Amino acid sequence: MRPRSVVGPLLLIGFGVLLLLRNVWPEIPLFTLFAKYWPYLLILWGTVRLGEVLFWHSSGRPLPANGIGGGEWTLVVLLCLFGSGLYWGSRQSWPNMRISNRTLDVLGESYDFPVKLNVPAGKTPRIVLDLGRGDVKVVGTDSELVQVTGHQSVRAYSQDEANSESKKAEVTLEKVGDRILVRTNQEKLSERRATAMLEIQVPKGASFEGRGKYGDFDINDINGAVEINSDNAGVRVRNISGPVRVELRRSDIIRATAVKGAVEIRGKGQEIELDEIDGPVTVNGGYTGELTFRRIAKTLRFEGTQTQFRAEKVAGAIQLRPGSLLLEDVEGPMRISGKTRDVQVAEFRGELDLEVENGDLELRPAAGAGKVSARTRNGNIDLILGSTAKFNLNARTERGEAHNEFGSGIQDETSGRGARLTGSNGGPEIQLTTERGHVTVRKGSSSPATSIMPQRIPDAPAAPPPPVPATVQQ
Amino acid sequence: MNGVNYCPPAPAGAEISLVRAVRGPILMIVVGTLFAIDHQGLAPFSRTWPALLIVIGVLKLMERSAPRTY
Repeated sequence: MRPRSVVGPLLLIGFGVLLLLRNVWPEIPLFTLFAKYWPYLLILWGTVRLGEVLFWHSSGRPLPANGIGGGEWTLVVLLCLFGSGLYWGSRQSWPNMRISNRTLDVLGESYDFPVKLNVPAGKTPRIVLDLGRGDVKVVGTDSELVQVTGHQSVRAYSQDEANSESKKAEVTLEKVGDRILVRTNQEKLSERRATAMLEIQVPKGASFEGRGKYGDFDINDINGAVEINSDNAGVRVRNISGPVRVELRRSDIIRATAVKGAVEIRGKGQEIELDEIDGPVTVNGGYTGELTFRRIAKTLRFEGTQTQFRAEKVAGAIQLRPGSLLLEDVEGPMRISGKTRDVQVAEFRGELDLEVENGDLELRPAAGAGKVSARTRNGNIDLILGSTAKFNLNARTERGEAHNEFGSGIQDETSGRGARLTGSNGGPEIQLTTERGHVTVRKGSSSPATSIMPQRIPDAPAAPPPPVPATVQQ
Repeated sequence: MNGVNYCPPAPAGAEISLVRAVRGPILMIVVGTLFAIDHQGLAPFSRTWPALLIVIGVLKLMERSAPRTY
């Protein structure tokens, strides 16, 4: 009998594992991963087939006339077309473009041209930056000057070429009306030949508006509004008195600390960290990494692709990670809804309305908690009540068991394949429902002995002191 | 022979059937490697594709120089 290849079954297994992963972690960026790594799949496939042929040969078994059959080649061609299509589609804003950029530098050399510009700007100028590609750091100072320092790098094959290119793409700083315009003029060169690394010192009262294609924004200590719009950026803002608006097509991290105004974040990205925000926070978009919200004084609204939530105040923290959502020391009225997610809510006050399709729920209401309604279609529900808690409980599972570990005051009854826990001592209503899973009520503290948050966000390192502002050159 | 259609594992014919059998897998590995190099940003596929011709040529040569049975 002709030996049969193991590649078919392996492909089937791999495909099954991928789909399963996606069901467990809906946020896993399968397409992005595939677009990036599909050539290795091809290498692996070829290696397995090669190994097979050599093994059959050495064990004296008959070899197939061709190592790879016609049907298999068709699959390979389809894989190549599909993979290349995905890759080119996602390439425009690739997360580790930084690495490929560096390797592309091999094709030419990078020449740096220093930038040192300043213009008097008054106390509350509006700074508009057209960054293109590159990183910028903006720092508020007590001076009334806007100062731009740093360098613009131009990739070229010779110094002469670099010189002429850099003349075309010179960084400019000009005052137009009440606005201060900073431009890198990179669009005057063919694409991706220039990169700017700038530090802009601005008066403390300034507001800032930045547009970019690729690169990081780091904004510190200003009292006006901050608005950032980029195709692909990491954004860090710290100590801002005005509102902050960030809109990114792609990002690795957005971090905002000590913002007095409202924070609005839109777009796509990986991680978000917000800490000490005095204004309302709105986050809207698709994020694949870890999202952390700490010390949000006003309403927090999150609208993701799989999960939505809203809380009136976050004294503690909310952490959203693939597969789980943790909330600790938060105030309602809260609404949480999601598809596949385990949710833990500890030390909460006010009303809570929670609904997920798949996932376990753990609720620890604090003394001031209001009406609670929690539903999951597929998962266990744990309710942890303080020994003096007031409640009017109605917990139900349609298919599963009910466990009363709280003790007297709660009755359990089985009905058909489901069960129910009820009990009231005159407190707010608590409605728990699962279609399939266990329901448990037990005694415990509203705040768990160890914080449910896996880790605290380390404080960002303090910004270095701004250099002494130079005097205006006459 | 009962009409079984495969290259017999005779010592003399083994070489040529082996070369034919490894041709597909090796090509696949090369294509995968070229695309991987492309995606790493090291060199674009539009520049490296002639390597495929070289590999095919080398495999053909090996096929020719392998001992044949008729």
